[in-house]
Amino acid sequence: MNVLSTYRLFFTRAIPIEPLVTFRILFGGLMMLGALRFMQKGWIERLYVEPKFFFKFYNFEWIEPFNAVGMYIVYAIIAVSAALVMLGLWYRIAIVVFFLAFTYTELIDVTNYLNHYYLVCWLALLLCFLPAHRAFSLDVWRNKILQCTHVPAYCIYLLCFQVGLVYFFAGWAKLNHDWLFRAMPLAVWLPTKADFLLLGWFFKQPIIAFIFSWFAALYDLTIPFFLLYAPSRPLAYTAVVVFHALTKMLFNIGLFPWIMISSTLIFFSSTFHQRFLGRLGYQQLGVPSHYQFPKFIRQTLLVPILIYIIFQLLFPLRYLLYSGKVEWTEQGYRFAWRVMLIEKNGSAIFTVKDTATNRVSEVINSHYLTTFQEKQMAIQPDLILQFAHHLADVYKTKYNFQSPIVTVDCQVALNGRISETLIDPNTNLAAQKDGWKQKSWILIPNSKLDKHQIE
Amino acid sequence: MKKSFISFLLFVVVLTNFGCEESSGSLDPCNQKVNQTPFLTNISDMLIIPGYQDLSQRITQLSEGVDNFVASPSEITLNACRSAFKTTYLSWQRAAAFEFGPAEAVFLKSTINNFPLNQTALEANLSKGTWNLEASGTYDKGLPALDYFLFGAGKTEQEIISYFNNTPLAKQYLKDIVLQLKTKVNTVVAAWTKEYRNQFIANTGTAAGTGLSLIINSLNEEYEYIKRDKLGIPSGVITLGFTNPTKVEAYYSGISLDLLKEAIKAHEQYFSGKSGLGLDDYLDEVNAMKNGEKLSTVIKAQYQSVKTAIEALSNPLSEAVDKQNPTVQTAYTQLVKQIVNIKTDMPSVLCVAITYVDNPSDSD
Repeated sequence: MNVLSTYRLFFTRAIPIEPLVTFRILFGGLMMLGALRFMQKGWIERLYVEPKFFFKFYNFEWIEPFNAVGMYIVYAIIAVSAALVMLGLWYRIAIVVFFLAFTYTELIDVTNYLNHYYLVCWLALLLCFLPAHRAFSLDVWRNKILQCTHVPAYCIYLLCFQVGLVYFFAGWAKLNHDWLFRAMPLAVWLPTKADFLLLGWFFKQPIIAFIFSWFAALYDLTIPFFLLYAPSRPLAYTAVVVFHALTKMLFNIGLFPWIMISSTLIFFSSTFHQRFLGRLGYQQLGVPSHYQFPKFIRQTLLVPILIYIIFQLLFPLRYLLYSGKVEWTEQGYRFAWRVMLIEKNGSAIFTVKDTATNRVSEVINSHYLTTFQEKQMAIQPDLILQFAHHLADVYKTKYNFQSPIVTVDCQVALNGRISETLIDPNTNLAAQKDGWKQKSWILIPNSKLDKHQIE
Repeated sequence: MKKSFISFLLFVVVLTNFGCEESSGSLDPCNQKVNQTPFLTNISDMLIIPGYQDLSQRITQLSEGVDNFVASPSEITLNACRSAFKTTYLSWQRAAAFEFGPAEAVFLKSTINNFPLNQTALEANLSKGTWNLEASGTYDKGLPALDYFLFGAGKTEQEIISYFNNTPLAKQYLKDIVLQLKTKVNTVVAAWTKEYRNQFIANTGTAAGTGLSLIINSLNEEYEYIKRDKLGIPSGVITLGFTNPTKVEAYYSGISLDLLKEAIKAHEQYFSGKSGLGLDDYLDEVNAMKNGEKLSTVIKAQYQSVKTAIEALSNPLSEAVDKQNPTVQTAYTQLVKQIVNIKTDMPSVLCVAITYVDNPSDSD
């Protein structure tokens, strides 16, 4: 009981609000720039307008994109609400709007899934509940009464938890055979940077891929702890900046480095943030004023927070419940902070057969999918299933098939290996359903993967 | 306490993330020690440049033939034209796969060989009296249009001759097509024999846009094209078994099968670098094995199976697709079997990305 109340005190004690304020400003600013960049690059057309078919997330099949104008409006809403978050103007409404609009765009097509956008969704959700606008914001400027100097500690620790968790699981995922002992896929990617300024020659050396792999695994696993521990923090943060700057230069990973470089600042002390914000013109309130959630919320808060934490800890590990390597089957691959782990390429040739007439047709995927979608689909079993269902629908309506049988010849090569069959070629995919259960029609090569190479 | 926790964690990691995996044997993907220069030099000097030079010569002959025919249409001039057309079409099969760099810049493939011909569009052009051969995505130009003019404009040679005598615009159309081909092919030859060759050979590595990546990507694009357009569409495999005999390549002259055979032969040579260094040698360098055999051997054997299956077809292909449909389907199946070898396995073990298009988005 005593221990429990010590913990309770630790997490609910009042700590200075400034880290949360910096977080809000940088998050809002980055998200605004991200939305503008997205529009400017013409990705709205390429990702939401050009495709004729969209791969849905399981249980979110009802999400549909708007037309081009509509999608531009959605992105404008994201940019404006992010700007308002940054400024702290009408904060509570702005962050909720941002969360909903951003999450909506991410749910439109699975092929666009990125871990760092998934992280943004969670951070935005947390911010919906956190009092991040209670200092150095236009809301406070308009209504002085709102200003606070302190917030309950868990408001900041939750963000530390969320950010640290991403690193830890990203490191956890790297502890696999290919990453550590074959330096895959870095051994594929690094040599392609051979024309890189000065370091090009370096990247071609096989040993470098190994050094990078081991260093990255170690970095990801330990960095949250080094950031938590005050004496190691400055060095750890230097490592964060160097690491992400390097990945930014080497790989096409967009906003990810910036998101991590800015959100890891949440680990820093309030004095650091007071100095940082002070340069921007922030002045502390003379009299301490502690933010408190209303009493009825405080009393019920523990359960949702615990659920959140348990979910975050367990959901990325769900891959353990499936047989076969997660890098191959991709069951439990998404939403698990598995970042840059695989170089996969595949070919999927679909055949549709009409049971009534015995007519058979091979499918030209590009008639239905963009090249990017086709590439993504050919390596991910749940997308293959969705596409098979779509084909069944098309052949039913367009060609009057009674009950189409859809099969696929899907060969996939993982991390520099020879290809293996990913999907059982005899399974009628039209009759299979998506779900949480093990997909029996995913073939698992087991040690066969390597037998072929030993000869 | 701490120590036992850490060792427990390590145990869990080993148990959960590794499973049983054997050592990766002798496969050495992404081998950076392979010297690409002799390989790229061979592909450039023994295949690409001679290929385009030969095509250029054939087109010059064709152009002379067309000039003579237009000046005085007769059976003699028509037949000279026809035979120059056939050798040009065969020569094109040996150059079709190199669609990157200079060829891509002038849209060579879609200018020379967009088939099947859109006869309606061609006739509409003639009745309008104007045509735009530079438009993209049109099917009223190149060798397929010549195929129509020289073989399909009438049932007999005499009918074709009188067709041209009665349609002066057709003479101009014919000349314009040949002129366009000549100009474009000569542009490509000039680029390859001047600066592009050295640029290509010096462009080593595995990144997108390097020589190796261009070769593998163009090889695959051409293969998809052979599979789908030359055999797949006519045979009906993608149209519920309903055949499309008129959609064969060179429908009017009926030389589709010869062209297909030449295309496969050329494709194999592109893969194997003729007698010099090719992708087969490269695959052997990295010890690529498949089902207990060298991947290069598997690929060569599959080319052989394709050729054997195609040998079983009888001329013309436009009739074979109906008369010998199962045999055509067998040939198609053999063609498809090669795709995984060259499109999935080869890029994977050579660590080259298949990049028909760039990634429109970020990755993480």
